[in-house]
Formats: sequence, structure tokens, C-alpha cells
Amino acid sequence: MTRLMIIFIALALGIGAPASGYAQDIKLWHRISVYQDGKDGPLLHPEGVACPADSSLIVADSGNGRLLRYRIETETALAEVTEVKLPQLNSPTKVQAGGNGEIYVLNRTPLQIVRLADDGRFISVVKLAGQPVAVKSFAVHPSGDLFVLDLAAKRVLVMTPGGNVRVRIGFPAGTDFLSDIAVDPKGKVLAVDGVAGIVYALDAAGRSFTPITDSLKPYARYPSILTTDAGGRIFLSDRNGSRIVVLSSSGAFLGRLSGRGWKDGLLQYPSQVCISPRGQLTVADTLNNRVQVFDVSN
Amino acid sequence: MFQHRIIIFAILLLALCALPAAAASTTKQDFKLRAGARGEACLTCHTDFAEKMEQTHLHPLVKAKDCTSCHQSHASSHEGLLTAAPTRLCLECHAEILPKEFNSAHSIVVTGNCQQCHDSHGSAYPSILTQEGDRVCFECHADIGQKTQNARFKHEPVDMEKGCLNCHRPHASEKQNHLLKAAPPTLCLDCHRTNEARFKRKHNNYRVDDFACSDCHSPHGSDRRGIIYETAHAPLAEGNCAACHNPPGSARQTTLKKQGMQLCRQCHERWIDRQTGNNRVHWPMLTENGCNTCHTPHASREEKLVRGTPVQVCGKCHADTVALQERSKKGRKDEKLCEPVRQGQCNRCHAPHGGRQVLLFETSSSIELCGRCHEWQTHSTHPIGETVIDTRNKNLTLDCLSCHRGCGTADNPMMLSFATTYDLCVSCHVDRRR
Repeated sequence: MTRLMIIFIALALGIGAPASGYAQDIKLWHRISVYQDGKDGPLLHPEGVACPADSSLIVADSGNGRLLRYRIETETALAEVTEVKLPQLNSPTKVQAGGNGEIYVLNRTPLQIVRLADDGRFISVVKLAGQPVAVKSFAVHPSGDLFVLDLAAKRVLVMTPGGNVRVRIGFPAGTDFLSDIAVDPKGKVLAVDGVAGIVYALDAAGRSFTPITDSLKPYARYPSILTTDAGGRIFLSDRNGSRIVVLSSSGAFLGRLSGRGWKDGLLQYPSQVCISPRGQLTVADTLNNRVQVFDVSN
Repeated sequence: MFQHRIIIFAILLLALCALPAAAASTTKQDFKLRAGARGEACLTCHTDFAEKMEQTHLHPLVKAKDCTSCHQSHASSHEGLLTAAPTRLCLECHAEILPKEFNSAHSIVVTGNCQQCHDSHGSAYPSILTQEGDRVCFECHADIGQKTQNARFKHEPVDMEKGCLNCHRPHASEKQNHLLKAAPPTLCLDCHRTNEARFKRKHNNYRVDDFACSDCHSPHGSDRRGIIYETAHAPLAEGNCAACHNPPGSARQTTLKKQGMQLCRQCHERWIDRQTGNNRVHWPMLTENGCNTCHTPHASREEKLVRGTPVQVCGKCHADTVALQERSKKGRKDEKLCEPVRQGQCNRCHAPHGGRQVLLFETSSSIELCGRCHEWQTHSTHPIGETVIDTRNKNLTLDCLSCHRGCGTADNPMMLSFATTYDLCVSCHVDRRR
């Protein structure tokens, strides 16, 4: 009987082996790999993922020039796929879910933010009038405002979805390049400079960015895309390092997860990451032509 | 009996006290060495050294015939019976050669290879250099030597007394790059007067006092008049500064007429449109600095006005990848390192401005890309191609990057993604795992 119990416990622990990493306190367990659309068509270089509040999963299938929306059936299974293919979205790279069910997508060519209805219907292209704007990334604030990262003028534009710019915030001093911007559920705005490997937070007055980390280069090769979970933990996609780096809300290093490889649980040049309402981490595993879903410990 | 013991104890105590004095006396007597044993005696056997002793410039210790300051008389762990490792020996006395903090240092100084420039005993040249003046520099910096010699238009200080040392320090520069004595323009303004009419005329009456002269001028000489780098931007070569800048004399004369890529678009519109029309545009093109991020607007020693070698330019942002390349080059199994990686030619595989492929690859398939050099691999290799599914990932087919990493893999052989061939093979052929 005792032997049986030991075997049972060992088996239970063995199921869902954690994706290897150096983290002591935080671990990933691989749950789902998404390889196909609803018609067994393979994904190609997906770069964007969004985890809306309705527990669906939106994938920017960049290489195929389309969005795919999956319904998450259980923690380990997806069902029902809806395809969104629009002329304005020939190369979607980043997806964000708005609070009212709207979907915002950054398209690469032409470089523009496209606004879609909950059902994937085209609403508009977000107008970025005035000086030339080069949108590297954007994030949707809980208030509904968009935070648009403009490389052409080294600034972040805070604007309404209709294109009305409320505030212009300059890049942090000495920084020429921010690679991504994110807003946590409480409205805290974060940005990352992938080249220097530094994460910044917007101050309470919303006027300037200040670093909350030293360079993360000892832990990551090119941490250039970020998201947060409900508790404010920061998840960074280390593209060249093919890992996920986790920080506390204050910027303290918590762990470096997964690693480069082809098999489930491993990553190759990961792009956008998002955290689902269930707390699962979803990664656009770009060079592996798939999306992966992980459970996150703690 | 007790008295005897006291006497013996007293004698021992006295003997103990006398020991240091005896030792001091031995030192004073110099181990009873014969006169000249610290050097002069050496010359009785090392007769060939007499010629060296006649050199014009001798190391002070050699001049004093004090061989034992650097050499052990009997035995040593180091070559030449040296008292310390040759890379450490000189710095024991000449520690001040390398300041505690410096911005740039001569690599041979850092590694302690002083003998590469100096003859440790003596030579016919000042500072006991192995060769005369600049020749010693050009022994390693041959390209600069050729440049200074063959350039149609020469920079005067190069041919003046002191040569290289007119601008550079030989060992280290505390504050400047490239061992410079001062940063341009301060260094240049020691000789050049910006208020002279000729200087102003040469610069189209633009105020250039605050600009780094070496952004346009080659300090070692050039085939282009005004020692401007051979690769010069057409407006600069034509003296048409106003093509990009406000007119001279205006309040903001050196301000650009337009910002970033918009300025370059004035002349390069079709080319820029073609690049920005690509599915993927290299982000620096779209930044505030635009083309200037990688290209210099005036003149460059590199082709196409690039600000440096690909490793220098790409490495400004992709330092991690360049570091991986460097580690791969230093790796013990680098004999199979891909040539573009060895040479740091990122642009042999990646399109620097933009393209249609992921990672800005030049081609859609790594088989085609690698096949440009490794032609035989495209028809004689492990099965690869669009019909061969990667067993590790059903959405991938096997190509070169299924096994190799294009930018190097540090110590792994043949740029493999795995430490050993076995690890690589069993990553797919799991049934063969031992």
C-alpha cells in the first residue's frame, strides 16, 4: 500500500514537468501548444498574442497575415477557432484586447494600429496625425486610452482610440530606443529598452519614465517585449535568449524560464506574451511556428 | 645542576638575539659574492652581449651592469632565467605605464608584451625601441602604415618628428579613445586655427569648432583633397553643405533642414520607399536619427558611409549576438566557424535595411541562404527541405538552422545548437538515445 502511494505521488509530481530554468521560486509548466487553425492549417511565425477577459486567446498569425481567435475550453485544451483576415491586417505583429471587447492590432505594412470589434469586424485605423510617427508598439490602458510608442520622435503618445493625443511623454533621458510598452491591470505603465535591457515605469504624475531595473543583460540577451500578471509581476520575452524573464512589480529579478529548443515547452525567438485571466502565460513562439500556454507557479 | 641549566638557557638566548645581526651582516656581505657578480661577471661568459652593451640607448639596469635585477643567477621558473614572468617583469618597476583608470590602453601593454616594441636590453633607438619611430607602430598597424605612406594627401604630423606620438600616447590614454592625447577637435585645434580665413573658406563658412574633425577627415591621410575620407557623401564632396544644413551665418546654421529619414528622402526617395515598403523594416531606419543611426552623413572610411564595420555598427544594438560571435571565434572548436561569422559580416546573411523574411534574412529559406557559400550542402547532406518534417516540431521542416546556429554557438563544434553531435542527433532520433 505504501509503495503504491509513493508511486502515485511520484507520478503526480512528474506530470506537467516544469520548463527548465534557473528560477528558484517560479516555474512554468507547459500546458498547450497551438500549431494549427481550425482547418489544420499551420501557424507561420506568429508574433502576437492577446488574452482577453472572456478567456479566449487571440493570435497574430503574422506569417499568414491573419488573426485567429481560439476559445479556451479547459486549462489544457482549446476549441473553436475564428479566423480574421482583413486587407488592413496583412502583417499583424502585436494584439491587445481593449476593455470593451475591442481588439487593437499593430500591423507592420503599412505600419498602423487597426481597431476591430469583438467579432473581428474592422472599425478603423487609429489616426496618428501630425509629424511622421513610427509605431514600435502600443498598449491599452484600463481607461481606454492608447499608449503608443513612437520611435520617430522618441516619445510615448497617450491618445484616445479616435486619435486625439492627450499627452506626449519623452523617452527616458539617454534612451534612443524603447522596444515595448505595457500597462498592468492597475494602470501602471511600463516600458522596456531591449538594447540596454532596462525596464522603466511611468511616474505617478504620468510625465516621465524612470528605470526600475538595472540592465537585465546578466539574465537576458535581448529582453524586448513585456507584459504583467494580475499581481503586477513582469514577464519579459527574451527574444535572442529564447527565454522568459520574470521580475517582481518593483523590478527585482525572480527567474529566467524555459530555453531555446524545438520541443514543447521550449522556445525559439519568442515575441509577444500575455497572461490570461486564469493566470496562464501565453507565448508567441515565433520561430517555432506555434503558440504555447504555460501554467505559472505562485 | 640548576645553575648549569640557567647558563645553558642564557647562552641559547644570546645566540637567538645574535641571529638577526648575523643575517644582516651576511646581507651586507652580499653572500660573499665576487666583485661584479651582479652583472659584470656575467659578461665574461656572455661575450656576445658586449655588442649589445655598445648600443646607443641602454636600459639603465643594463648600463649599470645589474643583470640580477631581472635575471636569476642559478635557476628560474621563467624563460631566460627571468625573476618573474616576462609579461609581469617590466611592470614591477614601470607600473605607472598603465594608469589605474584609463579609457583606452594599448593591448600589448595590457598583456605585458613590452618586448614587442622595446628591446629589454638596449637598442639604437630612443626609449630602447626595437625599430625607429613609427616603424615600430607599423609593424602591427601595417594598414595605417601603408595608408600614411601611400595617401595622396598626407596629414603633416604623421611625417613630423615623433610621428604617431604627435597625436597618440604609446601606452594608455586616461580619458580618450584610440590612445589619443586629447579628443578631437581639441587635439586638432592645437595646430589648426578656426578663425583663419583659409580654414573658414575650406568649411564653406560654417562654424565647425565644436565638431569632431575625424567625422570627415582621415587623420592618417587620404586620396581625397582635404584628407576627407575616401567615401564621402556627394553633397560634402561637392561642397554643397546647404543641401542638408541651413545656410551658413544663419542662427541655426548647422541644424538640419529636416529630421531623420525625411532629410535623406530629399535625394534617396525611391530607394527609401523601396526599403520602407518591405514587409519588415529595420527599426533604426524609422527612429529620430533615421539613416544616421548606421551611416555617417559626411564621410567614412567604410564603404557606403557606414559608421564602422558591421560588427561595430550592428553591435551597438545587437551586442549580445556580437558577443556570441566573439565567443565562437575564441572557442576551442572554431575551425568550422562560418566565414561571415568569423569576419563579422552580418550583412552577408541579413538585409540591413529591411526585407520580407523573418530576422531580416536575405532569403526565405536557410538552405538557399547557406547554399550561397555551402553549395555542396544543398545536394549532399542529411535529408532537408520542405518535405522533411522536423520530428521535434510538426510545424517546422528541416533546414540548416534545425542543427546549426547562424551566428555561432560559442564552444559547440561546427556551429551546432548542441554541445555534441550525439546530443544533436538524438534530439530527433530519440530511439537511438543511449
